Amino acid sequence: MRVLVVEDEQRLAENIERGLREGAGYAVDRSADGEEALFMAGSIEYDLIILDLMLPKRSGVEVVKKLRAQGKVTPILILTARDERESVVSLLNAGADDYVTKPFDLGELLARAKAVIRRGKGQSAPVLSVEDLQVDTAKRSVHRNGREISLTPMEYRVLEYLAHRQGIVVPQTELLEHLYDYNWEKFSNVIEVYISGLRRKVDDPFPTRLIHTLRGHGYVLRPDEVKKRK
Amino acid sequence: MKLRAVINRTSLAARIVVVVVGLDLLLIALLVTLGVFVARTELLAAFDTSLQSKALSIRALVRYDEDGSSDLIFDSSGLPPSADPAHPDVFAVYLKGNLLAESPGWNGLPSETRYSDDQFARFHEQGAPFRGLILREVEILDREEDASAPVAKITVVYASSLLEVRRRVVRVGVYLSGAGLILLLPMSWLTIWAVRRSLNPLHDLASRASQITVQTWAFDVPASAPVTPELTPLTQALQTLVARLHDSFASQRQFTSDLAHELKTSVAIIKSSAQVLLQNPRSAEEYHTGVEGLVTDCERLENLVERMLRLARAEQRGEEGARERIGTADLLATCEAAIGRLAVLAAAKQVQLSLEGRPRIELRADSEDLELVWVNLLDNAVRHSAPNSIVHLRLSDADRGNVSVIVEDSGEGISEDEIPHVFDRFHRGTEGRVTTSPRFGLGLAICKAIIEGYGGTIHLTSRPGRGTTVRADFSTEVILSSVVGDFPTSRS
Repeated sequence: MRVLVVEDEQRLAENIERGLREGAGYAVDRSADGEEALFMAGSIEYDLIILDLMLPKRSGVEVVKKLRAQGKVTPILILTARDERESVVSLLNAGADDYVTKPFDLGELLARAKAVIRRGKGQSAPVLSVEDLQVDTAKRSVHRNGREISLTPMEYRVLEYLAHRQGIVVPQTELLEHLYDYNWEKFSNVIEVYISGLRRKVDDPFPTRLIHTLRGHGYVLRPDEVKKRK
Repeated sequence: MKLRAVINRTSLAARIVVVVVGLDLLLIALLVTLGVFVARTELLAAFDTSLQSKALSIRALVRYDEDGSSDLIFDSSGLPPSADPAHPDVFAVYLKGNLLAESPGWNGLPSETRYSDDQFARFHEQGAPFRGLILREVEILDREEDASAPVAKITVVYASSLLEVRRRVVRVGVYLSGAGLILLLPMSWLTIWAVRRSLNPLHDLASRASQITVQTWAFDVPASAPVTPELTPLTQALQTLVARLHDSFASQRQFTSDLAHELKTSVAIIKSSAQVLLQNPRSAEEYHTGVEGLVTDCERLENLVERMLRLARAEQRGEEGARERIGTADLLATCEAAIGRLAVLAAAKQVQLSLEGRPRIELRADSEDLELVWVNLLDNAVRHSAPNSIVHLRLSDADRGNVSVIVEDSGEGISEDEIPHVFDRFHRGTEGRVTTSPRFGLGLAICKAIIEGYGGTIHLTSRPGRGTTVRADFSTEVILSSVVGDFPTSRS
């Protein structure tokens, strides 16, 4: 998952970024003003935007309205220091998905971020299941057929993204865009390395295949229609 | 109708009603007097006419004796009737000074008789006032056959009681006063009603004004107020007052809200720093760095609170004018100290600081406060200056009795639409908070509060791209002593 954090208070932005990276394994980009945030959100498909309200150049409310007017459906989580009912209502009406008031609890912020992302992908349960595979997004653990599978952080991120988009073919470019932020070097063959690692751990020990490669199209996580050849 | 409101002496309505009813009474009294006077004149005229005709008929009753002698006799058979039977008319007829005939009760004209026009006489008889007519030496109407014989001349006195006339005059007076008083009642009622009605716009205005609360500042002027010229000054004063209160309340509320925002943000930083640190198990070294960061975050909060308190104190001093416990400050020394404190930042930004003009002036002010103002102003100037430019700090007492301190830079300047807000609390300008040190937007607000707290003024002028000048002026009352020294005028 890739998240855009828009917050002009540098220390706070750093803390949120660190919390998201370490606590949820998300890729994080940061912006300190409304203008830049609009540009970034317009050019990259983020899975979530965490938006402060008091921003230089353009206010948070303006950013929300502008993004929604552009037809962007990216979930938006608002950070606000004002808990007056009116402003919250007007924010949600403007197209924000949820809000957290400052000073917030980091755990709550992460939980809300995860929930908003899940809902944005059409999933409501925190545990994503494909046949006998279960991806617990809260605990960041993976089980198949009751057995825990241990993954590297990057493998987990790939699997979590595929599980959120289960049944849909995800092109390699989409994976790249959603799993890396600006600070990472992108090489497409890196994805193939993670996919093969995932296959070895998730598919090989079990009778059915869940991770499929459609050459030239991308990857998809779904139940196998054909029984695996022995 | 509330009687209390009418009786209350301080009530406007009561005063107007009392004046109007009083004037009504006066008018009625005048009308009654005039009526009585006219009635009396008219009645007296009629009375005189009747006297005239009665005297003439008495004159006609004197005739020659029918026996052919030239003696005159008085024929008392055709006497005119008396107007007042209780006080019958009296008369007398004289021929050459001798009484020819008289009425019963004629005692001659009393000595105290008053005469007017030589033919009217007024006297008292039978305890009543009488008015008489005297026809002097008139020819008798009866003629002898011998027309050449001289006609006898007689003097006739005829008097009637004036009591009836008096009674009528009094009656006219009573009728007129009665009618006036009866009319006064509805007139008073009408007056009270009209006065109260004409005061209605005032009541409307008051009830609208009483609807203003801190939640609803709307002051709708009732439709009656603008068309009532007497209410215009009051309405305008109310509108101005409400607008001013609203502005000050709104700015206070904005300030509280901004302050809450800043405090919450500061707390959010500290909390999130601590929670990030606790999120995963970390090495001792990582914890150490994290706690150091927490201390920095706490300092930020401390800084905010300290600035807020300073601002509050300076503003309080401005409001209360509490100057008794303030010491004296050497203006030049505070400027030098400020330049000293900015030296490191200036060097880092390669900006030159220049102190110009050095009058020795002592002000009734706290030197720490003044130093803080110069530090804030210089700090802003240095931050917005390009490398290798000069920031000037000028002291001047050229304008006698006035001392001014000017901080001038040739930096990026401030856009015109932003200038009115630079002294607002929490105003940050376009740069926002994206700087390394926390900037709350309180610096200039504190400067303004401190300078104004000491009775001075502060102004900012700026031209984008050319630079900014801030000027603080102190008036004579703050200046304790002023000695112009012969010091060199420039130093860098």
